[in-house]
Amino acid sequence: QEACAPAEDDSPAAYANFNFQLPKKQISMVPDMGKWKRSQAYADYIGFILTLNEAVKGKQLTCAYPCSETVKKLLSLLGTLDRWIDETPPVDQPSRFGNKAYRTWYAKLDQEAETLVSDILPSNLSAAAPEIAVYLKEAVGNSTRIDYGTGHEAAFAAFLCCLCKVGALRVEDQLAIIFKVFDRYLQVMRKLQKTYRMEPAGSQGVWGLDDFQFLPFIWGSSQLIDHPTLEPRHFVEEKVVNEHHQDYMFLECIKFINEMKTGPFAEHSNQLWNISAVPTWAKVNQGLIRMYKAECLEKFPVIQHFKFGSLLSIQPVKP
Amino acid sequence: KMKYQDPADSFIGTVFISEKDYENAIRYYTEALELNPSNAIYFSNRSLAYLRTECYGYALADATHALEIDKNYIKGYYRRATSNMALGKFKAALKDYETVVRVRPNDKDAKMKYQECNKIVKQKAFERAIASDELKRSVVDSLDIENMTIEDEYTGPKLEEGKVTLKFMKELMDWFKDEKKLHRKCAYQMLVEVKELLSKLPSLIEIMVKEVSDKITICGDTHGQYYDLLNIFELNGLPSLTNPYLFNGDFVDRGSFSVEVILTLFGFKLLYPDHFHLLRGNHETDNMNQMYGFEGEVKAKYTAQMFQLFSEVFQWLPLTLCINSKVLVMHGGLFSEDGVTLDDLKKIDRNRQPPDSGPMCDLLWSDPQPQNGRSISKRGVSCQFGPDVTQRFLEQNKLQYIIRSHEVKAEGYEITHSGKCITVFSAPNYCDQMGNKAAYIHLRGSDLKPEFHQFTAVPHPNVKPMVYANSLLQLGMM
Repeated sequence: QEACAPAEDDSPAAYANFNFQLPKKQISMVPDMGKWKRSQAYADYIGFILTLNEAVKGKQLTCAYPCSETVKKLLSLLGTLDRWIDETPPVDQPSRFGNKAYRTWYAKLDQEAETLVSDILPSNLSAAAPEIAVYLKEAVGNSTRIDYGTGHEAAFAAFLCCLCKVGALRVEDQLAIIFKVFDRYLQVMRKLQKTYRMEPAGSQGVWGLDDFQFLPFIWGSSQLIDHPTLEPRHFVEEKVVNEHHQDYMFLECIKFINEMKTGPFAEHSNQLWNISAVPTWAKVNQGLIRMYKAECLEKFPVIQHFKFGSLLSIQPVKP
Repeated sequence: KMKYQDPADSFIGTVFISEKDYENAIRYYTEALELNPSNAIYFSNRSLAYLRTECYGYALADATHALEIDKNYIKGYYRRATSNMALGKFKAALKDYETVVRVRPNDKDAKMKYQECNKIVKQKAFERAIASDELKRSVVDSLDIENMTIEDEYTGPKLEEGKVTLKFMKELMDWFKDEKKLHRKCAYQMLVEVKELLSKLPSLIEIMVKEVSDKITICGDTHGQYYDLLNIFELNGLPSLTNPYLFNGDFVDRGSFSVEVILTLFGFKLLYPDHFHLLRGNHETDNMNQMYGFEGEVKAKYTAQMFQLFSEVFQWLPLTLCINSKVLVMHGGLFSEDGVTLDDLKKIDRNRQPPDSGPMCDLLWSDPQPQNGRSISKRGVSCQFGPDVTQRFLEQNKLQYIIRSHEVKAEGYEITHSGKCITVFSAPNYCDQMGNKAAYIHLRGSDLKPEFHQFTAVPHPNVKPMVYANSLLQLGMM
């Protein structure tokens, strides 16, 4: 099933009179996790991740692909968020981490989100804007704690998934979604993390992959499947990262980690160090998808914040 | 044997651990080690998988091995320390935390772990010091229950003239279900009475389940899973004179409703002393309670003094029970040496913490194994015993089979040693993680054939397991 295109009978016209719902939290207790796993939302979300994983297999960021109106508008939206960071410099404060200026930046997004989303949707879908805007607001970190983690990243994926569901993004947009939109999103998030010294949300424990992101490692490893020369063991070499980071998401992530952390790689990013010993990118990709399911999608502390509406529904999957 | 194209691949093992598929993780690393026996990371990761499956002896051995290969491997010290903590070997654990702090003087986390462990070592030393100075006095002597008052605002259940009634028990269970607290006066009253009652029982209890209509229900570990305990009573009926129960130890720790479980079980013990039986498990001990949450929970909900009283009561729990002179029930299993008789068990002086070895230790700690003979225990305490050991013991003591608990089983029960060793486990979805079914056994006097009833977990309020457990274990375990 193509998660990126609406179903046969769900043409954009069908959504004109659709009952959109403001997404709400539905997972309040650990036993609710069963509901989540059986839900349409879970199936749609994982389907979306895996479909895009297939789409980017073996492809470089700089390859050719179409760039639709909606994609361009999304880039513009992300550009606006970027600009707001420039307009909201960090403030002087005693504590080194969690700069309070982030809250000012966030408040702007909170206020403007619906308008921003409205602008990217075709006019016949404007009724979807409030619902979809909620996911955008969840995708950039937590305003109170000034932190960011895989739950927020998942909210952005959910945001894109919703745009696919209503037909604003289509099958043809798959590569652009990852290589342009998601890539730009990462740029903005990294800028937020750096500028406002955001904390990683949630303890990663022994198996932490990265303080902030997970999906670019999944999709990034898919890009490198069957690469003629680059093997996992190469990504710990600075030379390789500098040469190829613009083509490969995984390496861009490594570059960012090297900028933000000090000391030997094996010590500050032990799990990635393990991954560099895996013989093939295909194995890395498979392992990361399993780990994503186990560490993010099946963890109550992450999923309890997820919101469910009409597009990503808590209702069980229809058999 | 699982085949991997390229087992020299530590990442896939960690994926198994992420998925909580510890069996496969262990198998994976074991194979990886066959090809690559000098890999400290494989030993260390396998150690973690062993820790999460309570095989502390194996975890300790693997952590030690990892450090023998690479004495600079920091994770190896953490693994070994956690293994020692789980075994109650706090001084040994402290040494390893000390090493990490020396190597990483700026690591706040290492310092915190060292301090936490040091606190426990000091506390234990203090306890030993005062114990040797004078005969340990009972908490009962320093309690003045008479003069404890129950405030007007308390609307919860109260004992009727100091006695437990069925009405009290029903109110109590509802009160607990709503996450409310029993007044400490009532709790103390119950504990003092239960201590008195248990102290009069022999270490080996003998009961008769009469022919024809009589049956008894035997439950295994419940581990603080109060809402699942309520479900047992829902499915199988409340305890009564015609519906007797035996709970086979490990009532507390891990699950965060241990206080509710134990007070409910003690309540029924007081109400139906001859029809409601409790046996001691390895978790009805000080070391376990300190690490796995019961002590923390009692201190949070009541006081340290009340925990002291619980500890005294646990020491009086009987160790084993014989049904119709044919079926023997104990929490752990059989013995590290042949020749133990029922008479020996009757004579055990149980009012103490279990020793490091011997029949009392074995009753609470051992596990069956499929192969003949005995092996070193994966837990690092007591032993593992084979079908031949079971056979000899049953023959010598003219028994048909044993029922024990102590190990989580996917189906809630397991029949091993050709039906002579049965395991029953009554904590479904153990620790909110394992996804296992639970079970209880019906035994009728007419044929003593075990009838298994399985059940699954029910929802509970949003309090995770191990909330009150020692922080050092939380970090290692969860």
